[in-house]
Amino acid sequence: MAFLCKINNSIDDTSINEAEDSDQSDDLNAKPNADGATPSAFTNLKVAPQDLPQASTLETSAMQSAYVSLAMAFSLIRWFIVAIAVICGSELGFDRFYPWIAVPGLLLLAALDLLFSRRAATVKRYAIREHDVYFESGVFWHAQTIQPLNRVQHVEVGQGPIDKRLGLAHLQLFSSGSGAASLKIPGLTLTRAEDLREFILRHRDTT
Amino acid sequence: MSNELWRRLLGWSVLYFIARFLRQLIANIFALIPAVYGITRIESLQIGVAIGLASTIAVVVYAVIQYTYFRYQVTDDAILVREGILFRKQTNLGFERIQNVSLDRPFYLRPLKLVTLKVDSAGSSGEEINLAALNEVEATRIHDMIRTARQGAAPSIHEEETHASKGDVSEKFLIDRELGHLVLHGLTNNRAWIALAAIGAVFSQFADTLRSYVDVLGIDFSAMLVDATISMLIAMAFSALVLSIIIVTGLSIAGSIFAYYGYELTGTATRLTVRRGLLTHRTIHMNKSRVQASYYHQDWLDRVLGRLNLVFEQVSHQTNNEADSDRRLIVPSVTFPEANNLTKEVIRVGNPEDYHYQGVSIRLLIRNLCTLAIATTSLVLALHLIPELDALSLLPVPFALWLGLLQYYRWKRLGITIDGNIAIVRKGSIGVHYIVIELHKLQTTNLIQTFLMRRRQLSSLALTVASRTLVVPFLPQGYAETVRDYGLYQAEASGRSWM
Repeated sequence: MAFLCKINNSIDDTSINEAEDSDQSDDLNAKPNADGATPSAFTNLKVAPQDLPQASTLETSAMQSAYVSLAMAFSLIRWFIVAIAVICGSELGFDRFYPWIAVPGLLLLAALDLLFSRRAATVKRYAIREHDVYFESGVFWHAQTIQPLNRVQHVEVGQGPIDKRLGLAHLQLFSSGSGAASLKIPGLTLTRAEDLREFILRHRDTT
Repeated sequence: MSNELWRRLLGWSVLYFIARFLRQLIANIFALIPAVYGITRIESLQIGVAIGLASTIAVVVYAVIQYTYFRYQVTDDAILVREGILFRKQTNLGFERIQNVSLDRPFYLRPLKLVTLKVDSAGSSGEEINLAALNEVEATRIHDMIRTARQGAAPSIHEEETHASKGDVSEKFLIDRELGHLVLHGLTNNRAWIALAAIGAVFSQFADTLRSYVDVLGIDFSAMLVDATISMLIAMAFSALVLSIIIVTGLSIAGSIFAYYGYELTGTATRLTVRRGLLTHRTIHMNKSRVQASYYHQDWLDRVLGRLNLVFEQVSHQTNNEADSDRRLIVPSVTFPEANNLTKEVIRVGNPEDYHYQGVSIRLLIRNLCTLAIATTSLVLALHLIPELDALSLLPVPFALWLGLLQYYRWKRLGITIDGNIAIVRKGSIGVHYIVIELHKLQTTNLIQTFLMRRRQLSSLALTVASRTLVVPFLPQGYAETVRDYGLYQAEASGRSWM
């Protein structure tokens, strides 16, 4: 149960608030939150925003280092194939690729792609809270996805052939509304992914 | 399992299978064009008649076989269907997964006083069951079983509604639509597909492309030929445009009347019931608790006429095709106060116009206008560089100005507000759209940021419910985060179901 240490306990505190507030929350015309800090596009909040568990202050974990290495290895393989294609092409007489342009150009592109792959792998982070799963990814479009556990329809743990060698696995969560997975965490160890699946399923069964 | 439990449909259901086959055939009309072409090439009348007869017989035999192999069974908690000739298929639809039930009375079954019971599932595969040609007694029996099972199984879902109107089980009249409303609806919406769906499908795109094609032609013609015949060509293109618009609009109005004739919406404390349809009388029952969003849909023409279409959305699987339209309950051409009253039947919310909305950053407008300016400039330059088109090089400018104005209105409209458990998103350029969702029905949240947005402390917020994803770009980051945290709290701590 090591992963439970990431749980944000403040959920419990706010659930108590919810119980107290539920009577007055039935009245739509209740006066707006008296707290001056509340933005005016918020009315009738059931809890004050500062009492909410804040996802922006979460402590997150990175992907396994093997996952980062794998992403970089893929990048290298990609560019190795491109390099071979270019070399073969020039030997066949496609001498448009002058070596003094093609070689530094290729090296530069390969280096950029390598850096990008590394960044894309390291920027992925996840966290498990008591009631939801958090995942962030994306170099240029940075997205933070949060999937409440009581909306999860099914869970999938998957392993590709190369993942298997490295002991990696990914976890996919599906909710209603779209056919695609709402959240996919790659770069987990298999045991970790299976633990998470058990945790999520247990949560769903208890609620 | 003993076979006695499996029941057969009435023989009349063959009519349904024939109709279904023809519908599928026409829906795939484009694949059949070579065949149709081949038939027109047949010179001998006898061969033509023979082919016609043979295919008619083939269709009937196919339908009879489908009927022969169709078995259904209604247990205490599920409907089971076995069908298929080569590929046996068994569908097992549990009552708890049923989304809505509708009773169809197509014109060919109406004289026989038979109905088709249609059951949609909320499951992730989007399966549905059609029990054709049931007599009223059997249909009512199955329908009652589903209804009582659902109410017995999930009383907590309806907690709010029963609280709102204690002991109110009687059917309450909510709204009906007269012919005039349907004509308006047909005018403002491209409902041509319904008219064509009566005889087939798919044509709406065709009609649309035709319209835009003529549109393009009208501009091109006047552009390409700068000589004496230009006025004539413009007149021709213009009349072609007008004609095609008249045809499409006519089809659209006809479609609207076909689908919504005799529209009547009634409701109990937990349920909405719609009766509509000209050729096929349709009675659709929808549980209020399954409504995921209430969408005030107003296009520019709706705005001119002071109308809007109210849509109650249910779980969808990203299928915007109209075959899926039973998952959305449309109330055509209502006024704003009417839309409000109807929405209040399902979601307890105030008047969306009365709220203060959190707007989006002006940087969204700047970004969009810059993109527009760059595109326009390059287009103007490109036209300028081609000698034959030089005279037209300023043509894109008024269009760009118009688009820019629309962008401005779009930016000004875009906003979100939170009231208790409700989130309302406002959007649209000329017409105003409001989308009302309940936060406890949230499925997933997303916060998206580019590098430039992070520097300006902006974030795009995406709230996903089972029917759609609401995206509000370029919100102040603090606000977006608060909405996300608050929405998640509602979804996780309220303990209320989303179905």
